[in-house]
Amino acid sequence: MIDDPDLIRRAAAGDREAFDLLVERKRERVFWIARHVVGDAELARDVAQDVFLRLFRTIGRFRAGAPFDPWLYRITLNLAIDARRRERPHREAAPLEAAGGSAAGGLSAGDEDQGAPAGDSLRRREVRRIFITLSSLLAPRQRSAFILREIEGLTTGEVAAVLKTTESTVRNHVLQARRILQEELRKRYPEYCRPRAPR
Amino acid sequence: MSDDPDGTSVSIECEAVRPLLGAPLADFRLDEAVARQVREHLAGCAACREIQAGFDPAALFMELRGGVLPESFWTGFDARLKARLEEPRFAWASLVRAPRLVYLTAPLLMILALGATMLVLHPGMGGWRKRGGFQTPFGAPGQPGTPMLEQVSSPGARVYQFLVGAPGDETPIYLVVDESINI
Repeated sequence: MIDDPDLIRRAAAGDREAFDLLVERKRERVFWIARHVVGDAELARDVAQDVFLRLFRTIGRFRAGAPFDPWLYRITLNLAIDARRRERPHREAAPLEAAGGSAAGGLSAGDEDQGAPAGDSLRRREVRRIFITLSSLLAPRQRSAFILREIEGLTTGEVAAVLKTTESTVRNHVLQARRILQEELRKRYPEYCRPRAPR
Repeated sequence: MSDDPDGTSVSIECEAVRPLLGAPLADFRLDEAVARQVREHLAGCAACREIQAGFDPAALFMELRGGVLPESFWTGFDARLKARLEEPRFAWASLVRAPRLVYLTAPLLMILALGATMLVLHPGMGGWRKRGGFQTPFGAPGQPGTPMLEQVSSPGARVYQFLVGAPGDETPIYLVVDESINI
């Protein structure tokens, strides 16, 4: 198995096979980060395409030995935020049912929730819809920090590298994002603030 | 395995994680590596997540953590990406590098730059008017020529006196010159 730095070096030198392998290795995380930002699975898949297209065109300029993942996630966040901005007027114009179904929920075919128990999938879609609604109240950097650390599980240091900032700033962004989300959840979705009986 | 008060089973991992839930996790009090493991656990354990959500409702969103996607999800992704990678790209850089284009654009840019400079230095067409203003056949104040009689209140207006007729029978003629009047 080829390790990441070697794969990146080969892809940067123009090795298409290495690039394809790199896409296969990174596409899932890229997709999920985009998905948390834009909400819609199809749009997130398009963003992932754009990310790898951008990567293909710029990987030749990538400095060997520099941290690759933060760079890739930064591209992902930027393109996803742009896509969200472009799509937002259509999303807001759509009726609420549509937002819960296709626009914010996901796809009927090829959805990443496919295969999960039906109840879990529905609940997850509902939680995602709530997150997309409430995360629009966050500043882009607060949203990015929250998604990367709290949802995708990156360490504070890794998030700081993605956002090109300090760890204390990341902590600050996460705390502020959490405070806003808590307040809005209590206000708009109080049913999600009571501890449920464990299944 | 032990049992929760409500009868559900609790794994060893849950037992290890639960003392760390609440404020220690939310307030960044845990070591980064430990916090990562706890969050990893919370992403997959609804029971522990609900305990954390009782303290921090935003923990609800931890369940959105991306999992492994089925291979069918990527059907068409690779083929479409490959097609897009092989699409001919409109190369702006090569256009700029083309010598013919440089010969054409450089003079145009120069003319534009000169025009912009002229407009900045002399806003409006007045900038092209010859400096020095209205010319008179008479000397300006302080210059040699017909002696000036007096200056009146209008700025730049001057009164000249000429004497016409034989000596001893002269008739004075007054000529007023006002440069502020632009005919």
